[in-house]
Amino acid sequence: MQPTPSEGADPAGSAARHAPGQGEGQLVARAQEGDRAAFDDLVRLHFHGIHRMLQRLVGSHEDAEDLAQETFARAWAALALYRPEASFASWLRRVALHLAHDHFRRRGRRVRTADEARALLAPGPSARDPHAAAQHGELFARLAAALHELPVRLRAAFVLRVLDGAEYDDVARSAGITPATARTHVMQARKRLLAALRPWLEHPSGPPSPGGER
Amino acid sequence: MIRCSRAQRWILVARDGELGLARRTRLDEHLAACADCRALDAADARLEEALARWPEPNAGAVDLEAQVRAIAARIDAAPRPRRPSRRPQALFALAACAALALALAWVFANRRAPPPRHVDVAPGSPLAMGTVDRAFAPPEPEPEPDSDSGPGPGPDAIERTVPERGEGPELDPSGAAIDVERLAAARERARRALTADAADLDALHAEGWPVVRLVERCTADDDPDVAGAAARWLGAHGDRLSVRPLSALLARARAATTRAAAGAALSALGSEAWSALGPALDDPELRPTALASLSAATPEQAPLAVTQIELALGRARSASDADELAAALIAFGERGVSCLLGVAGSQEIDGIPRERALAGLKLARSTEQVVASMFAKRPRRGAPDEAAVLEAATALGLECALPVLEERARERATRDGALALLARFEGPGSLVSLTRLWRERRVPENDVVAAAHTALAHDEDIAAEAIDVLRAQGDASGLRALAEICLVVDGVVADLALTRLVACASLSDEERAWCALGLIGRGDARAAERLGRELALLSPAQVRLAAACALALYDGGGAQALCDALRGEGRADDLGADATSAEETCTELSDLFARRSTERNQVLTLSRASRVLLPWLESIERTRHHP
Repeated sequence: MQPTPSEGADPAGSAARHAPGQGEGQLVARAQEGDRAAFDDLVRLHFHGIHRMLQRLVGSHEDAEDLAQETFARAWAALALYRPEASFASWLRRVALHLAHDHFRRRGRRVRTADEARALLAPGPSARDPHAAAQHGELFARLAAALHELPVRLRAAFVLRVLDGAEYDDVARSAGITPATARTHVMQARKRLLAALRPWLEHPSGPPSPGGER
Repeated sequence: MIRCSRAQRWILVARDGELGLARRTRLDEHLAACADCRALDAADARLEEALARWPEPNAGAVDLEAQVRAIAARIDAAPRPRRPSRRPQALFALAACAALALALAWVFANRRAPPPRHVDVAPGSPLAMGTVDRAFAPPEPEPEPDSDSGPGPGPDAIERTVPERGEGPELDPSGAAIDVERLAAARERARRALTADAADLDALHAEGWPVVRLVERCTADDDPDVAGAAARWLGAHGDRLSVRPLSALLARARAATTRAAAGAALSALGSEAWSALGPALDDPELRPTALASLSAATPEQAPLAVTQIELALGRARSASDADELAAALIAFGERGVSCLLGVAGSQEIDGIPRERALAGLKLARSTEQVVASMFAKRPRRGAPDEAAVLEAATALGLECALPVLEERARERATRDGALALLARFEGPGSLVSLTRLWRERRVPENDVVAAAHTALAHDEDIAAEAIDVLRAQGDASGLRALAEICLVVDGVVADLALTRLVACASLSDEERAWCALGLIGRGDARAAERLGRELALLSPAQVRLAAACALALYDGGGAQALCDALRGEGRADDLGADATSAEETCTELSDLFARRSTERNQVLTLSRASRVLLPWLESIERTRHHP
């Protein structure tokens, strides 16, 4: 997948709400002067991008929404510290990543959910729909699980680079690391994902069991 | 030809679009010759394909305008929203202003005060009363309220609220208009009169002398008898200006009789002297008199009286002192109980006062009603007094606090505190509340789980009690939420709760099977024993639940526990299972369970275990119906 540069902005027309001719730079400048309406427009412009990134990082829609709201509330409080040398989207992503790190520190451990139990209780392969869609569904589930097994720093770099399509310089600015470290993190993440998913990637219908049960 | 390790690294770099052409060519050469690296390349290509097809999180599910409003609310709710400023120079300007203000303050503070205006006053006039008072005033040392009179409210408290008579700029603080010799003589007469002939005080009064002020000065006498007599006289004839010398005497006096006289005099002077009663309330011997005085408060005076007792309770050093003060507070009814809740819930007060306040509240029959009415009529959220009441109500295990705690947990600003209290709440009610919060999905799941983890750690029975409460309420979704929480929470109590939930008929078989599967890898022998009992109660229609139970049983107790359960060992009644069938089932299941090695394998394992278990379940079902 070739990365496509993105500033995390929502292309789906949310920006249309702010006044025509108002560039992001002008909105930021007005918000820095205390203009709440301008800041609201910035929220409309960037909320989806930040939320999407956070959802991929934390997995839960609700947590992502909560963290995204907190990202913008913190951004407002710290707006005076923003300098236009970096893009506003990377600055916001950096705030969001800090919050995501805190979120994982608080959470502290992985959880076992009813969904996992439900997956265990699913009928065996013999009774399962063998269509590719189902296989992809399983692979996506495994992919999501493997992604959430990654250390947060690797996950953040991977999500920004591979899933959000950011350039390494932008990943580095957002994550507060050097571009070289960002490259290393993305490579390590990819390597770990590959190791975790290889049985499913090599055998699309699922890995052969050691006891020959399949 | 490059080595495999380098090739594998380059495969990943190439997928990222970062591999140069020369390296790409070398990599291709290696891939053409190496099957292992080709397989890795193919797997990585599939990973890339999967990532490309991985559905985006559903942005449409987010209501953008609602988010804008929510963020605006958070910004508004922030304690001190910082207005963004682009001018750091403003800080320097602010610092310069502060420095200028300090300099001006120093200049004014060092200017000499203008000489006081001199006013001649006649002895006995209202102005002279103040002047006489000042004629005896310092250099005689007055006890400092903070150092000598202990932690209680000192005389300054009165001075702040009650202006002294004759006080004002027109008075001459130097006392130059006063005949000092006459005053000294009058004071000596008053001193003698206090110990010998009280009638002489009336004679002094007849001469136009402000006797009360003279007697007040006598409270500072070195002779404890004179000071005590002065206090007694002031208790009967003093006014509000007498409070200060009496409280000074109470703080300073060492002789018990003198202290008692000062305390009694202050008590007798009425509500205006109550703020000086602190030392009396701290003294076990003086306390009954002081409390009797405070207990006679009218409804208008009650707040002051209650405050004095509450402050004294906060200072109490022994359980008996604290109990006495707590009982006095409870006697004031709702207001007293409310104060007691403040002490019990205060983060700043710890040890005996807090412990005894809680004990007092537990004994007070009206506590729960008072707390409920406080919550009902106090709409302010997150107020410090509400926090203290919630804290105390939690420590007391008052169920009426739970709805308020749930409500506060839903609000971000008060969530952490409310969840911490729910976690500490002793009793099943907190778990029931947490299941509600879990179902609503308005509170982050991990926060609920952390609170449940602490709540479950209180004691083993709490989960069982919560299950009973939810069953009695017919709340199947609450039971399901509890199961989901227990699946996430680690610990023996959560495991026991899961075991109970496996046996809970209010849940569906699928939900019960989740609980059984949740015990895999963490259940203990006790859990295994319960699962064994449960297994024998299932019907052939519940074969998948039975398989999950058998797997968890095997995991917690091993093959022996599984076989004992299948044979019906240790049961009072006969399970009725055919011995050969039980043995075969046991052997087959043990073999099956021992061979499973991956989670994916586990799905198959359960299917196969169902098939193996079905004949055994049918045989015990037949026995159940045709014994």
